[in-house]
Amino acid sequence: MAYAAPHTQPLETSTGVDNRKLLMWLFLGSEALFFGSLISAYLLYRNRNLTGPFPRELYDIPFTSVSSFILLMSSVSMVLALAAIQRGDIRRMRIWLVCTALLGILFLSGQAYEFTGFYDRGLSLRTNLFGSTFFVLTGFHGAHVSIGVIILLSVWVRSLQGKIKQSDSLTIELIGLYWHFVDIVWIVIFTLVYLLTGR
Amino acid sequence: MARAIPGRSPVTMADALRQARGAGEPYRGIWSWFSTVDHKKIGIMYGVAAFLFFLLGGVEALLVRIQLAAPNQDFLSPDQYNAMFTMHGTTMIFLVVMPLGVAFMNLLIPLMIGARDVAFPRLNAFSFWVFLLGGLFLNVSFFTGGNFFKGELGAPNTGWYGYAPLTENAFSPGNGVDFWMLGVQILGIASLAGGFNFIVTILNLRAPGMSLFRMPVFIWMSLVTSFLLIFAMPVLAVAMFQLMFDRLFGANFFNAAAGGTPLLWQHMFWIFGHPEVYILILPAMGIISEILPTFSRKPLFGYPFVVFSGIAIGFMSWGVWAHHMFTTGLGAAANSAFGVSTILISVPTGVKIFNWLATMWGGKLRLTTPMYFAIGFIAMFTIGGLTGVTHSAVPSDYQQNDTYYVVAHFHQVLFGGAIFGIFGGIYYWFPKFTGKMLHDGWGKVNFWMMLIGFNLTFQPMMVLGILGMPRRIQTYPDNLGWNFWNALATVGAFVIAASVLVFIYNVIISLRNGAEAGNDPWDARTLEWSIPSPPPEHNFDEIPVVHSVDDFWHRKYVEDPKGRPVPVPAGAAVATHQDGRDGGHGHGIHMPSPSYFPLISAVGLPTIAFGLIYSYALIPVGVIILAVGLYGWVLEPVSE
Amino acid sequence: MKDFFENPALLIGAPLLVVGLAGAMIAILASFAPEQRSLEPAGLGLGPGKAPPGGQAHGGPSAAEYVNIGLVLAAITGLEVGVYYVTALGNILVPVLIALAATKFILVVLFFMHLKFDNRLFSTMFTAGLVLAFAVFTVVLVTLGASIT
Repeated sequence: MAYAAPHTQPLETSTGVDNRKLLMWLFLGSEALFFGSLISAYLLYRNRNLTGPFPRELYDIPFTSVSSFILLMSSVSMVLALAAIQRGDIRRMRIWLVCTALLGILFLSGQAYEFTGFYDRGLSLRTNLFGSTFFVLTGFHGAHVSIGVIILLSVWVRSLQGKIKQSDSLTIELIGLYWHFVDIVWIVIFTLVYLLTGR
Repeated sequence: MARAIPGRSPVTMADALRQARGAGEPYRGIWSWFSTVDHKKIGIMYGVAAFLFFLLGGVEALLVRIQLAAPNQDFLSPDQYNAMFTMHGTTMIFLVVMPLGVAFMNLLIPLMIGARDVAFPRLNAFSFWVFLLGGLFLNVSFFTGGNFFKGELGAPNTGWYGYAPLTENAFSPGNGVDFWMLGVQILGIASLAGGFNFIVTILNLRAPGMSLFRMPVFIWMSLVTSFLLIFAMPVLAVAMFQLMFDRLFGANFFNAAAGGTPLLWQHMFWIFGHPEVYILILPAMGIISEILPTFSRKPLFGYPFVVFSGIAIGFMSWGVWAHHMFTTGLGAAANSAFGVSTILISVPTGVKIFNWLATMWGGKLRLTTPMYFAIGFIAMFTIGGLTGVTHSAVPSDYQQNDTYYVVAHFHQVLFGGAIFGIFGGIYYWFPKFTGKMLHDGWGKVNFWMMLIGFNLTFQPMMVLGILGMPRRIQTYPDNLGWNFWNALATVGAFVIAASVLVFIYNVIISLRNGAEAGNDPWDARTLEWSIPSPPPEHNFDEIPVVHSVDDFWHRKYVEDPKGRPVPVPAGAAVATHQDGRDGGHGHGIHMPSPSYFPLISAVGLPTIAFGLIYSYALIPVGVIILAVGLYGWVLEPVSE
Repeated sequence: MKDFFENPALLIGAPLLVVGLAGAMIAILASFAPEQRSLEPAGLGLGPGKAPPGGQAHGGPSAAEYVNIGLVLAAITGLEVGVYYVTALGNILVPVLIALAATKFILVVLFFMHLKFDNRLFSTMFTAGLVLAFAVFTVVLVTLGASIT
């Protein structure tokens, strides 16, 4: 069954799928290798730290669970923004977009708080393998979230200027794909990096 | 996407302005090249830039060969020597063979699949500018080591593979490795952008009727190459980031003192590195697969086998990386597994070679210069491939590892393979994009000099390797029996250089006085030959409708009862297979507007890289340039 | 200046600062933009099930279904954290946590990213990257992990 958003331009491509959407999926496939490399470096080095602090001394699982939950909920609000624009309800789309961006910012603030706490307790990029692999992995994820937030806010402004119409639902869908991908990367990180090495 | 929007009325101010100054028409003069989004212009710029880097990398190789021509020489100091072979390798791989392959993809993909441009023209321009600026950035490093004219070179000197921990601060102080890791990172962005663009173009912009198995083999090989690019480059990017965090911010990824392992670098690098080998060779294989049928006047033998073996190579290239690491102590099980997979990957390659030979078998061969290069490719690449198989036997590899035998092997595939294929492609398609034939006589002189010079250079290296000469040594003592072979290799290198000068001469005289090419000088088989040379900006007046593999050939020829090609009667070939999807003769065809934003965005990247090396204050500047470029790009009112 | 990156809090703080500035800029710009009035009747919240019937024309899930999936995801996250503190699980903790994460992953990909409903080409491209990453890095972790410990 083909999923086609209503009121979008008729497609004229050989495969019948939109160029931009295909590009986005290829990009996400490529990103899988990017985060795969970073995560495997973390896993490879997880038991090889010569000095502390070690993961189990620093991780605050309840706190990270809450921030994971926040990112997960931002995915829900993102998908509601998409549902809204596909119905032609620009007003609600705008609300959900801002909601998504704010949840993203909240997640980033949580990460900043967590990083600061780790740093105060003696963990930096230089301290040990845990510091190097953890900060680079979660830092790159945070950078992806930040870029997503900037994109969301930019689109929100465009919609306030009246530049986003129902026919632009593909734009929202593509941003959504990126946002959900960042979310599923975090699902993997939360389990492999936090829960499995936190004990 | 370029589609006709006839009689579009100006909607916004920007639209009106663009219509007023005739947007869609190329800007005149040099500035048109800076803002162009035309895949043909971008392809030509890719080709010219990569060829200039080819000359640079060639000079570096000559300097290396002069140093090694005789024992106990001091022409280059050890540091200079290290910089030369590092920059030679990095340049030839990232700045020459890859972009030359991309140049052909740019020029040919839209023409061969019957499209007006690539799917994302501005992304295409971005890819080129990032490549060019990244290449220049990498080479700026030469001037950062003190006084360049006194031979104080700041260039990276750790080999093109940059093995940790040699690249760490403790062993490589100075900026060379920083330039290398950031430069390659920038080039990776260009490759990624290109890879995404080509996949979408090939999958989505095919002319009506061109199913996947009616695509020319070059398009198939480009598709496989693009997939390898988008999946391999992120791994390299992460490896380079890890090195960057180690060098600039004191992280410990490859720091054994903190419990890290330099072997992580080797794994990451070769997970990228072995698909990379096929990224380099597959476009050349595609070029050969177009040249051979044309000049044998036969369809490619076993088209599906060539295609599937190309796809198989793409898959298998992900399972052989550790054969670069047999001597690092992977253990017997891993060594055996990777040895076996390496033997296996030679099977699809062998399939291709037999298909090419069978294509020529019984054909009416026309031995033009492109055909010479294609046949040269088969012969030289086969030697290269076979020497590669000898590396897959682990005990044998223990002996060959880090000797000149390895150097001979990979030059045999990358020069004897990729470069021969690319030169064949240049001779073959030069008429299409310039309207002028390259001189065939000078072309054959070029070919024979290159073939002889090539064998004089690299076959002695095979001998040297077996005699035990290690790689990466700046000089060697007198009494090891290496003198003669080294001298021979140096002579060969200069013969190659002379052959390249012949090529340049040929290009110059042919551009001035070359014979007019016409649409189809070779009586060829694929769609690009059905349109004028050079092609108009919109490529096809009417988008062709495709009915078979080699559709253009079947428009020209039918088969007699014995299967021999017979020309279609005069007049019947024209316009029989056209339909009028778009209004004829290029009027009213809306082409993507030129844009400076790809160039502006691209400038941001080296600015950030300079900032990381010299002053963090530059980083925000670069980020702002990048952001301005990207925002302008997204908000600019164009339809593509 | 190198200390800048030594404190990772700043590493993440800098993007936040940029986001904040962008937000401020956006707010200023927005105040000049004419307010677009929605034709829809006013009403802030999107009650599940209140979606107009036209919203279902495309074969994807409705807003209500999205919300339900979100609730399932939240529940699984809660379960993960709960399981994490059950010390009795011992050796099966790892597979249980991985299974839970995989479930979340698959739910998001299938429903929020529409792969369940969308063209198979997209699933192929994405799965190619995932499978490749998984296969290659499993081999790395096994061979390199074995050779360095």
